[in-house]
Amino acid sequence: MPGIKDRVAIAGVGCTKFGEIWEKDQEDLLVEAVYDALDDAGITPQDIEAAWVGVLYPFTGMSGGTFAEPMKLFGKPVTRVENFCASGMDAFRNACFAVAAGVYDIVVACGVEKLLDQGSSGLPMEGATQ
Amino acid sequence: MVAIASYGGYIPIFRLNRQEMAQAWGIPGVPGERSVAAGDEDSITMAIAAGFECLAGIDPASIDGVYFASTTPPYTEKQCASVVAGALDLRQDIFTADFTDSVRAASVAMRAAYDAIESGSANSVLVVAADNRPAEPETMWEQLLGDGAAAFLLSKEGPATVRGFQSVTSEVIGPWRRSDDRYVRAFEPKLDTKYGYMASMVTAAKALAEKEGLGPKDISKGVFSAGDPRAHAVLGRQLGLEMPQLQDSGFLLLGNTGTPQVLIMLAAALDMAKAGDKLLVANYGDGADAFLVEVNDAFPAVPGKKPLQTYLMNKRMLPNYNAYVSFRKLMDRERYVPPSSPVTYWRDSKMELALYGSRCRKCGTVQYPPPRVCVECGTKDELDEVKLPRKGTVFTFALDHLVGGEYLSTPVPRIVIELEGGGRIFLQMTDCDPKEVSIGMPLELTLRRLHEGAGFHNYYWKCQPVRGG
Repeated sequence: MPGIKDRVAIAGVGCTKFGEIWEKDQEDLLVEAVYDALDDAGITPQDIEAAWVGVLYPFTGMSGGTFAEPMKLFGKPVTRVENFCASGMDAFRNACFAVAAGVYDIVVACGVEKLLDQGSSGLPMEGATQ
Repeated sequence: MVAIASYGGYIPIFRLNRQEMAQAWGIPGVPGERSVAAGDEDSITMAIAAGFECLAGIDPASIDGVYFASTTPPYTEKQCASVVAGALDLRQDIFTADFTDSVRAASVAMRAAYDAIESGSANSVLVVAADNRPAEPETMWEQLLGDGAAAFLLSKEGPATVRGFQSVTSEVIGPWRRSDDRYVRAFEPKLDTKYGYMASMVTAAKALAEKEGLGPKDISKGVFSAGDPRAHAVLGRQLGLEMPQLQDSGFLLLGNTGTPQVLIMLAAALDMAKAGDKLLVANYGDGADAFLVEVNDAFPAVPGKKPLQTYLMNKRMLPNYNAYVSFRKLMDRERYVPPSSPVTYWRDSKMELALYGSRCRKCGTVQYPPPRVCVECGTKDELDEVKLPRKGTVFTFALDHLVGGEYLSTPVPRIVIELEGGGRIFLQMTDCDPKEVSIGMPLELTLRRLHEGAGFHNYYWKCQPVRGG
């Protein structure tokens, strides 16, 4: 029977405040949300086997370093997911598939965005920061 | 009483032989060299470099104000002094101001600093002056002008006192530049030399000498700004001074550095002065300021502080005129501009301008940029901010041939720096020959203009071989 129903569980959830958060950067929000989820699940960063992170700005062409650098968690497979507003959902979806496939036991799916850091009031236009 | 508590100068490492410029255009050349700011330098970065020398051994928290003087401020709207204050890590409850529009701005700023301290408005004020004036290609201006900076800390106490300001205003069209003029402009200089420079400088200097009861023999050195060496010598004679009493204008080594010139000359004079010396300083630009500096004690030696002589003598000759054209961006080209943001510029300024890193309370590792999670032991949120030293050695490096940046030539050395006292930072190297980079090589950090992302000047640190080391 296709599907991941009853094959994957959410063990912990973390979420920061949403809004105009001038004083924190992408690193702050990602670390806070992930650590919230780890505490909720009662596990440590070392228990994480792989991660998926959904994010778009500051620009494309970045890597899983978006997760690994702030978390200082190196040597683990990390996938950066870029699917515009569906990035977070798509990161979650793919993380679930990895667990459902039996490849990993414990993974993190996360997302972070700092639209206001681009210096524009909303979605920056192509080349707007030039 | 107002005194000079400390002073410092900065001259860019690069020089160009004037004959190179003359030959490039097939025009006459005058003797000597001119100093050339590197492609990643501007008046703000040079002023900051001079400011660091001036503040060597001095707590930046003791400064109550910063005056930035330049005819080449990188911004015409947005203050430059505030960038200087950020990089020098001064307090936030201070006053900052830009003085501009005339090469006389440095002495105008000195007078304002004097007045601030004398009136009790401040205990100490830092005056920084810098210029890299744009010279029209294929003219003598390219040979005559030079780039540089100086910084003076005025305070209630210090080894030399300052007093006796006399000023005169004068409306004569000497060198000028409107905001949409690309290069400095001037008519035949004889009018400005006679009715501007000579008239104003003589009036101001004589008024000061009379007020202070000084005859020509009482003056140890006349420190006079000079647009050209001949007028400089004539001025000296008009004031009854002999040639040995005239402080060298630096024309042969540097060129006319504009706004900082008189302060660079004063720094050189103070380096050689002895207790009891009286220095008469006069500075011209749309009028003149004159003031008296009286040396009472020797300025204390500060370990690691570089005297002006180091900056004058330690240099790299540019190979040709083309190098100057490249540095000055005289040819319009498409240049890659990375993204940037006013939000991150503001939020990260303490770590980017003032160079603060973190130290982990658990394992003691000094790290940069400041993280939430320690890179060494993985502990979260147990880090204290720590100011990083501006000296270190090369831990490892790569020569990057793939970047087409604002450099004279690739490769760009990318360095992991082992900072003095521990900690690492990853920066580009500037003002160097890539072939000379080696593991363990001593370095110092320097703030430079990195790029123009989002349309404003993005300043950040680079490293360079120790100047004069």
